Amino acid sequence: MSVTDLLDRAESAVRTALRAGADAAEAYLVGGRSTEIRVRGGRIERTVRSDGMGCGLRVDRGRRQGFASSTDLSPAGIRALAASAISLSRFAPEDPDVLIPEVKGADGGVEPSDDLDDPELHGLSFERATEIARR
Amino acid sequence: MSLPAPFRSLLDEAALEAALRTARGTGAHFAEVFLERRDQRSIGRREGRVETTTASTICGAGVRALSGAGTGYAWTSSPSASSLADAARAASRIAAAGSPGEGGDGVRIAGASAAGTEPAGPGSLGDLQSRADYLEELDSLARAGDARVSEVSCSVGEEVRTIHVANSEGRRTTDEQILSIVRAAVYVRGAGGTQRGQYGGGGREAFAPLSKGRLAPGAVAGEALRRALLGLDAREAPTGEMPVLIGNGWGGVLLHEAIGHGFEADFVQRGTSIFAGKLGERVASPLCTVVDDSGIAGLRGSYRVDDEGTPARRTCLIEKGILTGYLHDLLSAAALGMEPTGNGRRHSFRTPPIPRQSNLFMEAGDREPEELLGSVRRGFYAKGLGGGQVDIVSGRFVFEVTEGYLIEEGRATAPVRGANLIGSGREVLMRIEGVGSDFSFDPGTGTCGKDGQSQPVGVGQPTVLVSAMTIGGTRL
Repeated sequence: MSVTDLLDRAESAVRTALRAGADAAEAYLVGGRSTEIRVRGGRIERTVRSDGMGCGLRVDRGRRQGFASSTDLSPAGIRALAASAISLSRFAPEDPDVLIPEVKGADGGVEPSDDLDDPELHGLSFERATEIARR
Repeated sequence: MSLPAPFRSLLDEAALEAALRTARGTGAHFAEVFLERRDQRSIGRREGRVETTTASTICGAGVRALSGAGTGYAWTSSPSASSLADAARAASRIAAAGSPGEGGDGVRIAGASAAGTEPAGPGSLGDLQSRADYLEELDSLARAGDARVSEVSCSVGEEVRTIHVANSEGRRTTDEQILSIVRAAVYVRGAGGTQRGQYGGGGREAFAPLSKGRLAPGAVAGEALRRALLGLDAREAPTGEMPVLIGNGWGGVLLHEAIGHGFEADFVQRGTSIFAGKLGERVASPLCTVVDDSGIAGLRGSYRVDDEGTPARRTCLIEKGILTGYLHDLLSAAALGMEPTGNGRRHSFRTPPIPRQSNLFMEAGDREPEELLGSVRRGFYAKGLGGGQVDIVSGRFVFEVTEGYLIEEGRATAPVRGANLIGSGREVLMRIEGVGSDFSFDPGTGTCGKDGQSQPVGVGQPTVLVSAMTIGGTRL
């Protein structure tokens, strides 16, 4: 899952929510791959590889806010997510301070932060990771 | 067998078969794909208004591979033909690298096939408005029930879960599991301070019929209020060792916590269970028969197949005091050379299955509960239990008593508050002196935690008399 892919789905979630009747919407997506290797006493105890993605969607309708989350980011999944968030907002208590903040100067472009990214991680083999865990 | 509807837009059977072949082709002797979709929703009310609503969907796939050396697990929350193939390769590589799982080394799983189970029908979460109306009615009935009610909080939670299991032994099974739960807490203010009474219920039933039947708003509000009011009149709890009568239904939570985990075969394999190596031996009073049954329709811990696709069944664990079995998943059964019991459960597709309890209970005896009560000169009646702390390995526990009474000359007299039951599962089993005929399951609110994984479970028992237990009270 690339950053562009995540952004596409985030935009699609926001557009879908606005079309479904939200005054404002905010999508928060997280995607990642991980390998977890647990070693105890030099012995591998547990290893799990994962590849995950999920979306939280916040919508404003008047002074009410609704929130729903899903890992199903197919077009049908995003439609269902938006419908859930909208439907939940109807039951939220009215809050005069509720507001999704406007982002000044945002043009939708997000650059991956290079200083937080260790290029070695991308090519880390399972065998190498195991070796590091055993140290 | 075609995939259940929630997965059809993501992948097809051919993708599953390919993933299984990929894992096998890279050295695994056993491979399994687990698909899961779970839609959850809840609505909660506090301070006279709806305060929380939640909606979440998880959808994903987990691939497990066993090779001669170990177990590998990989999952994806974006299931597709390619992500499943990636996961299958990863799981198989992990297994080949010798990462041991609970099954130990070199486990072979034979005959893991089962007849396909078709889902019961499309589950649906219904409309939120009717849940909001239900909670409002519950709230107002509780407040109308007594002038001393100061606060009511209540919630409804529902979920629909669809799973599909395919493994390299030819198993293809599907199950759809629905779950509903209602919880209410009523607070009353009186001379003795503020007291809280809690009640709730649920099960693998749709909310609508439950809310018109045993969980009608008035029934839930009334029981929570009754429990809260008892606290206002309660005395300080006694301290010391004495005969204890444990109430039926939810009282079985003590059994679940203090001994139930000892039946789970992963603890038996590691030798940490109090029941390890004791099959055929006396571990309890001859009055005591303990069973786990995942196949009872409607109960919170029930299913048609477990999370490895093994059909639900009844497993006798203690028969008239003799240890007769353990709770297995496929790996523990293979490792110990026993039959799988359909107790392989997982929190979600993100974790491999482990042996878990489903609905674990003590069967009814032949004594009238009144007769058991009448036989105690001085003792303690723990009619309702709350939360507890248990050391799963030793079975030592401390349980909070939410509804307790002194027993004086064969009668339950004053309600007491602040009491704790203290003891060990092993001792309690041997000290069971009387088992009532009033068996009941709990109302359906139990959730069990193990290794960071939570599972809905059922518990149950009749009224049980234990000859001696320690009451940790507030009065010396």
